[in-house]
Amino acid sequence: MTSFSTTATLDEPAVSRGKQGGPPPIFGGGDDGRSGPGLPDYPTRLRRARLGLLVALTPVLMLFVSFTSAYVVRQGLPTLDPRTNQLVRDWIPVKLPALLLVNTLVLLVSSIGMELARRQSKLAAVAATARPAGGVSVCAKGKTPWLAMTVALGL
Amino acid sequence: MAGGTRGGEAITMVSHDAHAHAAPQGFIRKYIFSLDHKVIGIQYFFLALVAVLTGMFLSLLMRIHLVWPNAHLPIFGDIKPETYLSLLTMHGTIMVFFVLTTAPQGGFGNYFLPIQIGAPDMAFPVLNMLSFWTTFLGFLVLVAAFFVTGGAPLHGWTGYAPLSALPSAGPGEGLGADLWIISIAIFCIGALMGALNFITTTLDMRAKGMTLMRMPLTCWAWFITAILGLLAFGVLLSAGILLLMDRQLGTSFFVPLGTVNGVLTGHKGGSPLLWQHLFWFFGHPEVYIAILPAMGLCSQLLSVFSRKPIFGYKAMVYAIMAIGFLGFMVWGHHMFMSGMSPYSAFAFSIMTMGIGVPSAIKTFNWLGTLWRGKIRFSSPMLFAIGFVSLFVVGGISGPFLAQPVLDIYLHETYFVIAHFHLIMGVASIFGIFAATYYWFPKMFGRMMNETWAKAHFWLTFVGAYAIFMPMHYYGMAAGLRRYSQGTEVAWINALAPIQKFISIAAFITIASQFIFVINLFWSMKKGEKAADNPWEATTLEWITATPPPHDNFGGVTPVVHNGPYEYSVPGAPRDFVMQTDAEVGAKKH
Repeated sequence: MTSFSTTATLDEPAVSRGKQGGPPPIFGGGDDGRSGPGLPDYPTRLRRARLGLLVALTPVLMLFVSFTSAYVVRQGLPTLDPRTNQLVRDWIPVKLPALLLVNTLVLLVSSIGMELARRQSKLAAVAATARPAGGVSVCAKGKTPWLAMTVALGL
Repeated sequence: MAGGTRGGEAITMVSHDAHAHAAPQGFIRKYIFSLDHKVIGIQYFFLALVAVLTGMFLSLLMRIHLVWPNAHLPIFGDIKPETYLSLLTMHGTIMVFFVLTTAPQGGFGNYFLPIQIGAPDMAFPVLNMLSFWTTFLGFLVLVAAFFVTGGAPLHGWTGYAPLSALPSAGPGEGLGADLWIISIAIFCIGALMGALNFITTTLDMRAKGMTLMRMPLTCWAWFITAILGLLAFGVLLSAGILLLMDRQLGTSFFVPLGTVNGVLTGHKGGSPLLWQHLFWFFGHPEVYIAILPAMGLCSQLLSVFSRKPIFGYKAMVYAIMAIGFLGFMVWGHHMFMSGMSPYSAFAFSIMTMGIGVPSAIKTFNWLGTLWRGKIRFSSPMLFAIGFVSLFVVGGISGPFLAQPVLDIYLHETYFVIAHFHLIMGVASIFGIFAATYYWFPKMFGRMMNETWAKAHFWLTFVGAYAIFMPMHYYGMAAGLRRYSQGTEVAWINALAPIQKFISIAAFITIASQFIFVINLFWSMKKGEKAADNPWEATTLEWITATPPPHDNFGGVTPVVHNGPYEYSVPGAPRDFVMQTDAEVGAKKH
């Protein structure tokens, strides 16, 4: 969780000042009368989107809490066999294939890789704006090809 | 700057060009796929209106059938026992999901939450539009269940397994039940998107000076309701998915080994109680999702029309929170019949009676607000007072049913029907009526006809009691619920006069609802033009124009200096101080 605080900065990322950058499209873009100069500024939208995402995670959590509890309850519950009139435990554990572990591992590593790639590109963007001023390279440390690695794992 | 000054007093506002954007042009963007929370609110309102008329019509058919079981109806023909169960199921589902959840939160919440906190719109307008259209789709799918082979499902709005899990269990349990589950799942997704929007908007988009403790109680109620929805609908969604898997993919989450009509079902080991746990973990908070907005609104109206600050604002806020929190602890009281351990029944029972405490706090605060007020008996106020009355009467049977010993006797009787219809159904509907009469001028720019509104109130108020009070007696005398007819059972047959009385009361009450519907549409076109603040209320929706401009405040964002209930402030020039007026000297809370 320590990594979370670093992502919660509200300053405007320098990417948006670049030629290609520009703020990412937000809800309400298009011809709905909300685009253009009337938009709330980028940090506001970023904060709002982060809050919204955090809130959106709650029902996802509840969804899986109830799936898991259904699984656990079903696993532990003896059921009545009307033919013998006795409680029986009829849970047959599913044999998990080894592939599942590999899949999980790939998913984990690629999501970590994606986050690292995101940080690297943010750093690079800061460096790109800083260079004209100082002439010193600030992005000396981030050379690991995280993005390439994530893409590779994604395949 | 619409509504910028009133009565010679300047209202402080910060000019804020950021929201001064043009309203969308074109019919479809403006009225159909609109991103404006006000239009979406009105769309929700009309969806709920269509739904409530549908649900009311189904109850009419049921009431006819209960008294005249052999009647041959003009278009429907005979109502068979399974048809009765379909009517019951669809009535419950439509009313709970598409009326009681949709109108107070989706309708009025959508329209007035952003305005009352001084925001130009919801946080995520596109999501807001999607949540309405998702809900709409859910309604269409549900209604479609009437028209498929086998008709609508039989399993009640609670969808108890194994009946709901086995397509062979009854005529409506085939495609009809599939559609029912899919509709509920779609509704869940729509409700979750809505809740997400409400929470983000409340937390992030309040105007300057609008601290949480300066929010009107309506906003508090919508906020807490959204949190309940966020936690509850995910659980119902997962339960629905599991149920669909049981039906279509051969899993056995909810179906034990057994036979239907002598044929083995092919399932074994599932637990019907698991469904009940999952369903009621959603189902009980759902009850509060229906009633909390009405409570918030009622607090608001009692203060406005008594010309007094609300009695115990903070206590009201904490009581809403306590009710919301306890609402998640008590789902087991719907399952006392299931043979649960007496120890867990005891725990659920204590928790359930515990809800009586915050509810009583709210009730006494409402009475305290009315006490020595300069009461104006306008139609919204009548419905708000009616709400308090129904809330007390419907609520008082709660502690009866909270006791496992009594509940085991009463649970399958009409006593429970009377209890939840009064408190969750009629009380919430009174909240919706009050909201309609109160906010109609702001939404449509005209006043509703007051004479007809009062006639509507008295007929509905007396009618509701005439329907549901005898139902308590019917239940105590062991009149069983869910039975399509009682003519074959001697003791139920002996109670038939009560059913007849209830049915006649229901016909009159249903007929009097058309006063409301006609008044609604007539007033939209012909009603007297409304002023910007016809009720002399203090909250932010009344500082803006009627109806509000596209960005709610016409290019400015209000700055809030006062709490929401500054009425009859000593030394103030008028008997109300707008939230945006200069701060009043002495603190009164």
